[in-house]
Amino acid sequence: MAKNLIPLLLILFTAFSAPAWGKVYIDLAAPSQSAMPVAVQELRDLGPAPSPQDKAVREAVKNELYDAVVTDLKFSGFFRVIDRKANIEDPLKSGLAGADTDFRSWRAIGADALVKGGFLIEGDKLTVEIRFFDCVTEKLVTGKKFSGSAKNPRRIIHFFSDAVYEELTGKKGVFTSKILFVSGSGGNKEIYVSDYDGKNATKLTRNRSINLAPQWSPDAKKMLYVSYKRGTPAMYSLDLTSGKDEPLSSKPGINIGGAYSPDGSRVALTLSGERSPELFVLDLRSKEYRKLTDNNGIDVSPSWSPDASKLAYVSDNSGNPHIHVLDLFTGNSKRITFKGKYNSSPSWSPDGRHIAFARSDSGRFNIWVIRPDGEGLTQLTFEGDNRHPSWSPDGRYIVYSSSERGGTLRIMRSDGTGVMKVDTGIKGEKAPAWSPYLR
Amino acid sequence: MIGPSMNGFGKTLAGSVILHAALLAAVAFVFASGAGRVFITPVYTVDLISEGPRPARQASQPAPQKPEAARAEPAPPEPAVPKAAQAAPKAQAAKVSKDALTIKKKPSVDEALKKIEKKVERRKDEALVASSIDDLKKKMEKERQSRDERVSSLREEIGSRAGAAKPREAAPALKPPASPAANAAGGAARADLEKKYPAFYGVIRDKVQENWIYPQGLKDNRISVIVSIKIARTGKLLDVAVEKSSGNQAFDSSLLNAVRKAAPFPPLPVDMEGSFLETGLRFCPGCEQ
Repeated sequence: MAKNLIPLLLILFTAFSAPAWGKVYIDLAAPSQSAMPVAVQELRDLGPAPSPQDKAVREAVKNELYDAVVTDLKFSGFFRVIDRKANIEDPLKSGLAGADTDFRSWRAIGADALVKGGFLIEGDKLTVEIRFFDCVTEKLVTGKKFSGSAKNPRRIIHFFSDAVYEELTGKKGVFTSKILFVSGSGGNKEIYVSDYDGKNATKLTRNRSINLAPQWSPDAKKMLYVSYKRGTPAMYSLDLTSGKDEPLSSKPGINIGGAYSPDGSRVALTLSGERSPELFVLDLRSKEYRKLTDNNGIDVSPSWSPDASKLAYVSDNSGNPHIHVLDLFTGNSKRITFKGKYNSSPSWSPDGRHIAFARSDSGRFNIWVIRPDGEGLTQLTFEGDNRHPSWSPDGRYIVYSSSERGGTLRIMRSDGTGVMKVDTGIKGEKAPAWSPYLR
Repeated sequence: MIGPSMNGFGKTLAGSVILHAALLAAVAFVFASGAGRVFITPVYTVDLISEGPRPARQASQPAPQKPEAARAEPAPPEPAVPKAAQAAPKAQAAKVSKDALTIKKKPSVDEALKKIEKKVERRKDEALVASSIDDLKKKMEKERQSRDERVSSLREEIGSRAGAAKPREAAPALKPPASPAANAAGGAARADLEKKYPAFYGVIRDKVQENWIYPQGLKDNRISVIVSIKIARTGKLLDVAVEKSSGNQAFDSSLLNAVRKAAPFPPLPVDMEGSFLETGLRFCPGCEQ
C-alpha cells in the first residue's frame, strides 16, 4: 500500500506545484505560409489631365480607393499586402487587363495575387474598373466595373472585396456591411452608423437627448432604438432609407432592450409597467403585447435565435444576473450560465450554435461564448473591459466595445483571435450592432 | 370682476402659448430627428467586366460598357486553345507539337492537351511526341499540385476560420502533443485544455506568429523546433527556453525572439487554475499528420 502511495503522492505533488494542467503544445505555421502575399497597384486615373483644383480631389479619391483595398484584404485574414514601394510595374504605363500586365514583375516581388484597376470621376459619379489576378497562373479571378457616388469611394471597393471574397471562398463577404453604435456621455448620447471598418461614420439621431441600444431590422432598412427624447425611455424605429422616425413602444415605465424577430414582424422588449421589469413580445401589425416572463427578477436584453424559436436574455431572478434561454413554444426558461458575478448582453450567432455575452468576475467584463444548451463555455477576451458583443452576418467576427479611452470598438474573429481596433474617428463608442448582409 | 376674466384669458393665452411652443418644438423635433435624410445610399450598378469561372449573377440591365469591357479582357482561355490545337495538324508535327506544348503552360492546359493528344496520335512520330507530352504532363501535374496546394491551404484556412464560430472546431492548430517531453499524466487534462481555452491558445499562437521573422533559405519540411514558455496569471512572460532544438541556432533564436517580442500575453483565462501556465510552441511541419 505504502509503495503504491508514493508515486501517487509524487504525481499529486508535481501536479499541484507545477501548473495545474498538463502542457499543451501550440503548433505554429511558417510565417510565409500564414497568408498569401498580394500586391496592390495604385488605381490609375483614367480621366483627362486634371486641372489644379481637380488634382487634389482625384488624388484623395485615389488614396481612399487604395486604402480601402488594403484594409479589406488585410481584414479577410487571408492576405499579406506587399508594401507598395516594392511594386515595379508602372501603373501609368501598364494596362488594366491581364494581357497588358507583366506578371513576371509581380512575381519578382513575391506577389501571388495582384489587384489593379482604374477610376474615372465625372462630376459626382465615380466609376471604378478593378481586377483581382492570380499571378502564378496569370488568370483573372474577378474583374468588375462599378459606378457610384464620388463622395464614397470606399463603398465601391467594399463591393469589389465582397466579390473577391465570394469568388475565393464561395461565401458572402461582410465588407459592405455596417455597424451601428452609440457615442456621447452624460445627458447626450447619439447613435451613429459606420462602414464595417469604422469609416464613414454618420450621426443618425440628433435630438440631444439620450439614445441607446440600436438594433437592426432583419432587412437592414430600419433601426430600432431606445430614446429619452420625450422624457421616459421609449422605443423608436428609424427608417434608414427614408429617415422616417416613428415610436414603437411607449408604455408607462421603461421600454428597453428591443430586438426585431428574424422575420421582422415582432419586437422582443422589456417593459417595467408592473412590479418588476418583464420580457414582452410586441406584434408590430396588431400592436399587441404578449408577456413572456413573470417573476420577481429583472428580465432584460432579449436576443432571438435565428429560427425565432427561442430568446436568450438576462435575468437576475436567481440572484446575480445570468443568461437564460426561453423557449417561445413551451414558455419554459432555462438558465445557462452559473459562473461570474454579472452576465450580460447575450447575442445569438447567425448560425444559431452560439451565444456571445459579456461576463464580469471582478468588475471588468470580458466576452465569452456558450452554446444555447449551456455547454462549451469559452472565454474569448482576456484584457481590459469588454462588453456588448455583436456578430458579423457571416458569424466569422464579433464586434464589441472596450472601455479603453472611454469606449472603443474592436473586432475579433469569433474564436477570439485577430483583435483589431475599429477607428470611427468618433470618441467613446459603445453598444455596437453589426448589420445583416446589406445586399 | 375683471380679475377672474383676465385670469381666464391669461390661462387661455398661457395654454395657447404652451401649445404653440409644443407644436413648434414637435415640428423642430421631427426635422431634427432626421426625417427626410437618407443614410444608406442605394446599391451600385455592377457590371461584369469578364466572366470568371462562375457565371454568377448578371447585371440587371445590359450595361453599355459591357462589350467594350469584354474586349478589354481578351484573355479567356477558350479561344487560345482551339487555335493551338488546330495549328498542330497543319504544320510539321514535331516542330508544332513543341510549339503547342510551350504555349500550353497557361491555364486550361488540360483540354488543349487532350485535343493535341488525339490529333497527334495519327502522326507517325509518336515516340517523340509522347515523350514530350509525358514531360509536359509531369510539369503540369506539378504545377497543378502546387496550385491545388495553395488553393486547398487557402480553403482550409478559410474553413477553419469560417468554422471559428464553433470554438471546438476552431482549435485545429492545437494538436495533441507528439513530444516525449510531454507529461504523461496530463493526457486527459490536455485534451480538456485544448477544448476549454481555444481562444487563449489561439491568441498566443497569433501573437507569436505575428512577431516571428523567419530566417530565409530553410526547408520548411525538414526543420522542427519546440520552445517552452511560462506565462504568469497577469500575462507576463516568466520564462522561455528551447525544449527541442532544430539544430539550427538562427532558427531557434528566431522563435525565442518572436516569443519575447510577443510578450506580454493576455492575462490567463479567469477559470484556468494555477499561478502560471506552461505551454509549448511547436514548429514542425514534417511531424504533422
